[in-house]
Amino acid sequence: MTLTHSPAATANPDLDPGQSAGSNVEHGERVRRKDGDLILTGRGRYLDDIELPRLTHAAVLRSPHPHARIISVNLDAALRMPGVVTALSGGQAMPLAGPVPHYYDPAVAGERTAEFRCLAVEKVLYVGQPVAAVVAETLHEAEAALKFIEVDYEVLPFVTDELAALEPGAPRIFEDWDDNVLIRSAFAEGDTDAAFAGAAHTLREEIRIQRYNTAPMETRGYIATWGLDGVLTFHGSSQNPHPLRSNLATSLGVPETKIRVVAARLGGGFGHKFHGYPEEPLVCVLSKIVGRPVQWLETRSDSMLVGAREMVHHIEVAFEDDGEIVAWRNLIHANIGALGSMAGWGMSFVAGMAFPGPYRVKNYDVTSLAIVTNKAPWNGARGYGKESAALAIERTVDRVAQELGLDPVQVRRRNFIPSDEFPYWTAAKRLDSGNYDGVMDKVVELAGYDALRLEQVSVRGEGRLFGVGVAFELTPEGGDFPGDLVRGFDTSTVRVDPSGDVRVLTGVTSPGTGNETGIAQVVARELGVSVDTVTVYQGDTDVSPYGYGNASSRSMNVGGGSALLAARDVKERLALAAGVLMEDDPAALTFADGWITTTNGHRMRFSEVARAVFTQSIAIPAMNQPQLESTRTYGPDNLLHVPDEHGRVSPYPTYPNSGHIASVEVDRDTGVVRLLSYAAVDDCGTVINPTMVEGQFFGAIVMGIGGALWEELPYDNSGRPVAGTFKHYLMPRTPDLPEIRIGSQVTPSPFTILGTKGAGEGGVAGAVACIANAVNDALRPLGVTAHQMPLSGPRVLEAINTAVPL
Amino acid sequence: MSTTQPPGSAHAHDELPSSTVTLIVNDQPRSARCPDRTLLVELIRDELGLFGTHAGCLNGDCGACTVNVDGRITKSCLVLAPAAEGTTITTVEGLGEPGALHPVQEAFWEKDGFQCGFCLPGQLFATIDLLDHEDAPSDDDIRGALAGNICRCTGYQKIIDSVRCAAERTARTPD
Amino acid sequence: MIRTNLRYHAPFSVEDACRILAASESGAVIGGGTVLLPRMTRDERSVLDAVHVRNLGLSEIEQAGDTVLIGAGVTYTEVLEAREGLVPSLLTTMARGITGGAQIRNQGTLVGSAAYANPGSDVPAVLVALDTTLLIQGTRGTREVRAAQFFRGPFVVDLGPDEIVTQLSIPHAEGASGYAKLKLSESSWPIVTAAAVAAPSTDGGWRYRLAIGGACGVPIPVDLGFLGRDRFELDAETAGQVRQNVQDTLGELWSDELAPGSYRQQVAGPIALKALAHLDQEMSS
Repeated sequence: MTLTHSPAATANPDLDPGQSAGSNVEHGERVRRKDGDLILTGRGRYLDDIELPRLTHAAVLRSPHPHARIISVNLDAALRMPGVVTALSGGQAMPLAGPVPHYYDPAVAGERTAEFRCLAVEKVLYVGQPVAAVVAETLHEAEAALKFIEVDYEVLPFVTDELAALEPGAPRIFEDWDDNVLIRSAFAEGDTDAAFAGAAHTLREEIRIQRYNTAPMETRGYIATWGLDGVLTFHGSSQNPHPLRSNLATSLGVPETKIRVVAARLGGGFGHKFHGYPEEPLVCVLSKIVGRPVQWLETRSDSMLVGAREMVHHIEVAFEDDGEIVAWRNLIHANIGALGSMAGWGMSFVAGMAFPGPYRVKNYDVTSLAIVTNKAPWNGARGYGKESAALAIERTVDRVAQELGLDPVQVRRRNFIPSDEFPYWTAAKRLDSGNYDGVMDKVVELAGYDALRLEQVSVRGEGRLFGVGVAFELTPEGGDFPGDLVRGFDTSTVRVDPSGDVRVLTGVTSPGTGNETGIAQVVARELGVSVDTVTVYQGDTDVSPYGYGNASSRSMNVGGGSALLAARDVKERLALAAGVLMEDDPAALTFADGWITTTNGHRMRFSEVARAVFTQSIAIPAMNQPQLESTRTYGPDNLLHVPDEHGRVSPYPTYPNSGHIASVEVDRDTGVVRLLSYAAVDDCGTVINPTMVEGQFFGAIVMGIGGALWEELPYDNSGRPVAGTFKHYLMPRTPDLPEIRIGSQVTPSPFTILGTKGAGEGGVAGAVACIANAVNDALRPLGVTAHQMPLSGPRVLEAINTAVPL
Repeated sequence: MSTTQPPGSAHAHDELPSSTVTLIVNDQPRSARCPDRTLLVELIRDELGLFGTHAGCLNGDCGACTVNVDGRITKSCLVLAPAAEGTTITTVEGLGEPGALHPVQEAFWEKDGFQCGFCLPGQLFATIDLLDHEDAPSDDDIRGALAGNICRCTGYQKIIDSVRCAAERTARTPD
Repeated sequence: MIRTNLRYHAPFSVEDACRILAASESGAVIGGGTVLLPRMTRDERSVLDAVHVRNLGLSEIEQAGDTVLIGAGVTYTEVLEAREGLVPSLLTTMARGITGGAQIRNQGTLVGSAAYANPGSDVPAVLVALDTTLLIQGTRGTREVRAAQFFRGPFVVDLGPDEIVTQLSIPHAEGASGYAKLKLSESSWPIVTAAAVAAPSTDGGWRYRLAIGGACGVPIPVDLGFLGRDRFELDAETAGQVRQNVQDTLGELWSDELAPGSYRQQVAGPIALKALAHLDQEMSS
């Protein structure tokens, strides 16, 4: 089945593969986004819209130095400023909050770790690290008081470059480590040295992806309120409210039952709102001190401190005359900044684990070094290292094609894992299913690839730099990491009211992706009711079962899967009651259109039966299941942690994939890249709601384009971040983009209950790689490559300048 | 440390200069007393309680704070509240309501022209402004009209589809 | 958020405005506010008295003899909406391309941009190319400064703390113009701009002017004397001479967050040629 989105095709009846049956919802139906009317009319309430009585506002003083010892902090003058309620130094905060628990502690993986406090105590490790805080009646007053905090620093030597950080004499970020390497992750199969020795060709490249993040339109924010009963209510823009609650309990030394975390409606997440930030326990401590609610909002420039993705690949590939890739070597240097407690460091692991992508390459040796420096720490960022891997993999595949004079599409086809070899093992993943050739066929057609190549010949003939980029992305999703609160399963409750209305309480959250709509569709379909009668509750730890929130495109797989199981339980109880009431075999009933119907045509409304369960159970002895509620936990079958006979494990259960083709023109005089066309086809398994899945794919592609061409968080020579506004951090805007055309292929996962593989993250990696390939294809007549991302005008012109004049 | 304060800092004994701002918001006369340093976006949100207008960057880049001031779409983080004295303002709350959406809002729902919704008020105002000036906007017109509004979720494609849809409907609707 | 005890003023006369500025420990004029307000919000600029131009009667575009006067409160949108022929086509072209969407065109003012003098903005080079005179009023009276002298350095202009630029005075000439700018993307401010003007001279020929913005800290006028007074032809030789003159004229290069000076130096020639190509096109039509 093919889903195609293009303006001309939106009315195509093929778009709804699961034909809707009355008010019932089939998989694949384009149900409108739930609560759309509220959001459209300004009624959605985000963190900063929460009104609490006697609310106070916190501002944070941040380190101006990349590395310094704190000699003293004097708060006296700040405390005298108008409106100031309190001020706090790191030393004062020490007894009030323990270290900020890690999102995923490297110690759990057997590695080194480090502790981070909500305010720095002895040393600051990066520009922007919180040093002190002020609480005032207004944000204006809190911010105004910051400059009256006097901090004496002893400035220390710093290092922001990852290679310099590896030098023996480099400043050490953590004094109790003997170097600056957090973790060395190795992934290997076969005999790589022998394969290189025996291969017809080899080549090597150095490919660098820059530091950049996800920049959601709403920045982070938290509000802490302590009740008279000692209960802490924490409103937060968080993707993972339950694990955050657990970590706040640890950090604050408060029973977990005394904490309620409420994740407000999120204005985008993308990993930026994974927890582990110092401001989380900080607002709790401040609120405890002032005895009033305290709100802290991340400023836009604060949000640009958060790093991600900065890696250098030292990559080598061995290949045969026909384009067969026989081996890869890669040494990855990841500059993860000063570690922190957030979720970022794991991206260095995933960047290595993602090898060898969608290709059947049996020899590889990949090592990834997570190197700490005096840059601000990373948090997770959509792509989570897979974009970095895809860039390195796809650039080298293109280089292979170029060396052999072969078409890059053909070289990819030559190396794809054949669809009959799934499940397919690599060193650290078992790929669930795939039809990569099928995806490639579709994207080649959608992009008009052959016509683009013809156009290229004629445009190049005019002396212009026109490039066509091809890339294929494999996206490991739904990661499960035992040992900490980052898991691959989740839990949902389905509850039917006496009115017949349905509530779904789930541990997964939606930062705006639309999984609440998809989960409602799954439950509505199972119960044969209108999706409008299903309400999904997310994000409030007092309401929803313990869950792991939003990450790794997991929400439909495990939120939808667990809700489906719970709905089946409830349906069974309703069937039992309906069978008694209509004197028929419960197993023979059909649930559809809000009715429960017997084989001989008798029927009762779903709502009538629900009411009868509450009003007639026990009184009618055969109706002995008086409750319409079930809580179920679900995880895919492909989470493999017990090593197989070859010692292999697979922390990721599902593997969506996508093919991308773009064309660009590079201005020879300025290096500025103009994106001319973009087409992509994804396969994320079964699609519950094509509209939502397309929306995720479009967003991911443009996030990839932005990262490939413009977005960057550079540091200057003094160790200070340069970008503080969207005038420095260049986000994609409408005039930068051509019409983006997408299509879909469905290869269900055999390991998930819905056949879904996960949508959301997929597209970022393919777009980064595709644009890099397109630009390099454009530069080919000049005999130069541009392997330092992003491919902004100055970078590309630098590459052009290295061309040997004819 | 010394207690001397840099110029421009707030002195404890100083009165915070304030103004009463009287204006019409969503067809209602409104009035609020606020410090002169208040931004219009703060006035709209904190004083008038209209939280549908969002502050995404406070630098005039993202467009999430866009409202209509005296017929011109305006980034409300770039205006001091007292400068809005006597103006007529429409915020997203004034465009339509559940059950009675503005045609542009309908189009955005149908075409899924938003995800998290944070930037949405700005996208709606930019679209309405475009359609006020152009009955049948070209693709370039549409892309140009949205240039002042960043969206991070949608990749813009479904926003552009929404604008096209709204344009077609508006063109078909007689005055 | 704005942290000072800011006082907002919307005086009804320029004299009052100047007096307020003169008396202030730290005053600033608000035109559109598109630059000043965010800087105050981030505490990059500390202002105690903000003087708004809204009531000064300076929101008009008017013809005055052979010049057009553009008031301090005039926005880009108002330039675009001015009646045909009132403002030079170069200004219209520039206003249409202002970054930040319709909102910034509705809010930003030409005078505000001139007074901020960000090398990475459209206005400075355009004003120089148009041989604009800035009319300035202060507590000690009025004065006039040519645009080429007004821009003293990056973010530095010839304007006293008690002074306001009240109007731009642009010689009205039925000439032709060409404008080009390089941005890295739509989000980017201009990296290099080039504004070219052909003004009809009294003898029936043309006087050509070219100014480059963004490459250096101030807009750089480039000598086009070699074109003579006749209609020029943009052939390879002319193009080479333009490139050469641009390179010879550029002084100390400007670098900022988006691009180093070396990049600006390299692209300045090509952008200048684009502007001349547009000029050529306009003269032909």
